[in-house]
Amino acid sequence: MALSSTRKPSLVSARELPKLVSAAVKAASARVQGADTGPSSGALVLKWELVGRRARSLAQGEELAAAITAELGKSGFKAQPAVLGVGKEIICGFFEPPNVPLARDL
Amino acid sequence: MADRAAPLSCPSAQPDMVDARIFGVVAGSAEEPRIAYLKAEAAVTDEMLEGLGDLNPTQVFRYAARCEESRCAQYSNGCCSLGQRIAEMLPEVTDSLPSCQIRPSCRWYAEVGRPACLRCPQVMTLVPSGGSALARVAVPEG
Repeated sequence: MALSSTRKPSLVSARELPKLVSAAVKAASARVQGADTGPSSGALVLKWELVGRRARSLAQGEELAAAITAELGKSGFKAQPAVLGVGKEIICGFFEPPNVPLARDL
Repeated sequence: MADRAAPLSCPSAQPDMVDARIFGVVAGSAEEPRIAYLKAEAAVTDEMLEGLGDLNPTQVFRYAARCEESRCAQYSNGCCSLGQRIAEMLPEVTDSLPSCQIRPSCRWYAEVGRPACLRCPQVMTLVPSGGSALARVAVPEG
């Protein structure tokens, strides 16, 4: 990671804050637009938080995700089963209903 | 160091966590973000938050909140493993301690001390995708 040219930490006063926040919003938007969105370029996936655990394989992950959501369903909680591969990790579990990933065109 | 009898704060929190408050703005450039620390009188207003649009608030602000301890994936052996990895794996990006409002209760400062603070300005809670050093540090071991 490259080092910043300035080595002095920045402090923000109340007077400077609105301008800085505006610049931060622009920079954050630039980061989002520059993100690699894969084959569906232009689509941003929001709300990706997955509640779950690690699995040893995709097959085991699918099985566990289905079992977990079925169990939750018995309590009246409608969850969306999901399996994710992140690097070497396979994570399985569920998305809470309000957090089902949403693809949005920028 | 912090008074360990008081609850410690997570310096890389989410806005919906208990006692969440903003203590920094993600300044710097899009390529090299750096936290600008709020002076005590600088308060983020509702109008500023509304101006975020679809952005996640953590892409623009740094939040502190009450540490969730064992409910957090970063918590291991009674400590925050993220603060320790930051101190071990990231470079210092400042020569002096930032004037930070949360230091008295900060878990990273309580457990790691000055080395965490000298690296803190490069930390973003919502880590950008890709193979950055920050992205590698953010992944809990285990």
